[in-house]
Amino acid sequence: MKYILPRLLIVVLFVSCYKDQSIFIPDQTYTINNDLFLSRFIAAPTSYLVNLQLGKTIVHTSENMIVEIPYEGLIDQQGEVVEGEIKIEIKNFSDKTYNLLRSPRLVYENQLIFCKKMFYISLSQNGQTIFAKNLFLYI
Amino acid sequence: MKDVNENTNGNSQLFSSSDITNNTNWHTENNDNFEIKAQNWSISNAESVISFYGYKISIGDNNNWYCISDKLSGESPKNQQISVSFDAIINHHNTIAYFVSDHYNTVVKLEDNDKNRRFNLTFASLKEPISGKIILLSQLGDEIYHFGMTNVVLGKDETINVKSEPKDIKDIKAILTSL
Repeated sequence: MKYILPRLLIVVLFVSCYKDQSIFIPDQTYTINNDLFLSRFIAAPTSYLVNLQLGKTIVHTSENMIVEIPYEGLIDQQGEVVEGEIKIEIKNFSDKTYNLLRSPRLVYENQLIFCKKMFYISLSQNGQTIFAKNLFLYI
Repeated sequence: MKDVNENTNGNSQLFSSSDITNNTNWHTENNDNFEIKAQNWSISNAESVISFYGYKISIGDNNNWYCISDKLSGESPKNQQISVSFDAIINHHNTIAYFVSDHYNTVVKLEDNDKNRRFNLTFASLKEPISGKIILLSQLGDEIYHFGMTNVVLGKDETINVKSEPKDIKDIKAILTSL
């Protein structure tokens, strides 16, 4: 009888060791940055450096969109016409469904928006945002 | 998925926005005289001529985001809602939830409801139910990802539970790519 308890303890110890496993307890305050998080899955817009022509400037993107910039079609933040090299960041978000995860919510006044085409475009020169006075995009 | 080459001309609407916050303020042209349609275009400068079939959009007003969609009804019908519950291991800080339609090109980020641990989507009543998936993307720490996905029918289901499990980022990307 005096050996039963020690033997039982050994069995319990063995069983508990056998079921040894790590338990992951997440930090409940860990907060993700949505845009940084989504950038792991969805590529950012593509950048194009473009020299504005004296006439019309045409940029044909790798995603088969065309940007048409008429002469003097862009202005800076002071309202002056932009000349020289500019940067166009552009992406077609509608060619693959999962790209839309990184787009604005497709809801307007609670109505679901069924998207045929969705794109993002941003224009800058030397790091400063510039604006379209007269610019067309074909998609 | 609906495509520009389908015969949906005359039934399109243009939305534009300058931001991408949770409450994106889409602007749209509600004027019946404003028409946007796909057609053949000839684009030329001194160096080249390009023929292109698609939509031509005038860019302006400091907007960065543009969306061409089926024309909305303009009515204000009754709202419906779907409420999504989830595992205790994830929360609103480490998770983003979406509805992804199976047959339409639409994806909607769900809204947080921190009080009752739910993600919600409120939407105007649909002409017919829309099948799709609820997706939960979670990051619980450095390189620790969880993923959950469950079928759902908007306009029919009102509450749904989505189970999440640990997944490698490559596996998550593969699933998203297949949507």
